[in-house]
Amino acid sequence: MDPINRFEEVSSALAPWTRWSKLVQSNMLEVSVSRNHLLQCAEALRTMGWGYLSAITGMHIPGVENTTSVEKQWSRLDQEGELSYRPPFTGDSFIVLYHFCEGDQVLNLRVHPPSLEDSNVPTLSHLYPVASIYERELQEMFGVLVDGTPDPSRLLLPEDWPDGVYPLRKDFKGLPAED
Amino acid sequence: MEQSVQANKKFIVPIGPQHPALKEPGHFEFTVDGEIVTGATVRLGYVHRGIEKGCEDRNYAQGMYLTERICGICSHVHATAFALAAEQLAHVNVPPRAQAIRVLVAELERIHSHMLWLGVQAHEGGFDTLFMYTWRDRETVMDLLETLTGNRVNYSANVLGGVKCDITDELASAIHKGVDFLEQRTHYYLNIVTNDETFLGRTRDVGTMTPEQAIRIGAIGPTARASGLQRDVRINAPYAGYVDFPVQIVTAQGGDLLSRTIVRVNELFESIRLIRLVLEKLPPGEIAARMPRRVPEGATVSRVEAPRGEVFYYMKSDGSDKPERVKVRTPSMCNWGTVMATAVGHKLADMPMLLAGIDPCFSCSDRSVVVVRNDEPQAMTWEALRQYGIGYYK
Repeated sequence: MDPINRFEEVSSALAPWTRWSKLVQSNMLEVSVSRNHLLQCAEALRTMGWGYLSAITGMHIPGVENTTSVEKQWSRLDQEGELSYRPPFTGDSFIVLYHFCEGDQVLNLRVHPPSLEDSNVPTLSHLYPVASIYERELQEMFGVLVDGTPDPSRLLLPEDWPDGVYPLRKDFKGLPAED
Repeated sequence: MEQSVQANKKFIVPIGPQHPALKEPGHFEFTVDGEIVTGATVRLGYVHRGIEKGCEDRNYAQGMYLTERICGICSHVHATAFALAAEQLAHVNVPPRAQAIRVLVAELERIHSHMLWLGVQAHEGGFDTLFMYTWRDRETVMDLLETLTGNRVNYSANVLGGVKCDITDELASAIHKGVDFLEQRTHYYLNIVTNDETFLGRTRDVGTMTPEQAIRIGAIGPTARASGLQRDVRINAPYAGYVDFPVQIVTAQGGDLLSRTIVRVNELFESIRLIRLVLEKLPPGEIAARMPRRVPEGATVSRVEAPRGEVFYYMKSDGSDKPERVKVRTPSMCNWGTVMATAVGHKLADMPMLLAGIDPCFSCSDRSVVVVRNDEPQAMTWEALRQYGIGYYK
């Protein structure tokens, strides 16, 4: 099938929940949605048989510092395309990307919870069983809480890893040296 | 009273963390009812090295060598995925000759990986003669890789912007000679895996996965293709030189261990065909383009078909000489789900071959087996389970 048509198809299906969408490169479409609508979007994708869940990427976005000029911050936010809903002064936050692949096309569903403390996202594991493993990884590496994930235990980190330390956050610079 | 309590207790057999399969660490727990497995869980991380984090502190060239060390078997795949993503972000056009050499090394690597897997699978089934044969023959391709790149593993064939090694006429004739021998041996393997009653007894109708299940669970690579899914990144989204050297998809319909074996053996033929094609039609020209140190801001994904299935990279650049975020999703991660789902209903004795059947790579997903019996976790070493399986079917 013609590549563009597949994206058009998915864009229109996701339109009710889309905040913004951007064709990042010819075969990659990024669609920003609210975490409250993530389940509806994933269900729509599954119902129309659009691709499979290939990966879940977490990202720690350090907050925009107050020392930079407001204009600069606005322009940065503008590039990100989130001007409409993000204030210029933000604390740290997470972005969670759900990558769906169909043929050579990749759709990134982008969820941007407002802060580190309020960063819960819903589980997709009942729709895509493979998500369970990715969600375990996301929880232990970033501390993003995944609501309803069937097995919240650790997947990769050692048993004696301290609670509340998340290695893929930008402020993690290694564990304190043992005595 | 006591009896009914007993009846409700489940047996959990823990296996590992040492050497659950492929002599690598991982930990599995199988819940069993008598001989039949009723549940399975996995705990990985025993060789977790924090490579994604490590990439954030290294520049792109260093990052490529670091990701190449994610896996000792499919190292070229990781380096290629990393390089393709960085080149895409930096808008670097890689010369066609370099892209063709990437395909050549990738296919040599696939031969080495599939032969290694066939040996391991035979070994788990107690068929050690086949194991010895495949690993002996595999030396041929290891030698070729060493001659080509200077290394048996972690070849470092890639550089950002191209490859570091060129194909000379002398090398080409050595590769031709090597693959001729391997092709002849592959006919022999195909004959054995499809006709030998011992091997068939352990693989036919074991771990059967229907196409619908495979889609639902999210299987990829040879595991998915053995269930008839047309899932191969080399074909669905051709990268590097696969645009010029198209791959013919290899699938099977059975969905069982036998089909997974047949798919991999047939892929050996396909890889040999591609290698010959690349050598014959190798484009002339440069083997590397110049890659800037700083990479413009942006984000991209890169997908590469490893011997085990799709490798997925997400790379985000902030305009500096270091990537802001590198996400790696390896094929074993997706395929664990298939083992956990297909294990249920099978005999404990089938577990070694079933686990090995997805060609699990622990460095990849990073990661033993636990069988729970009578609530008391009874840890089995992989060797003990393997011997149990072989003894059971004797």
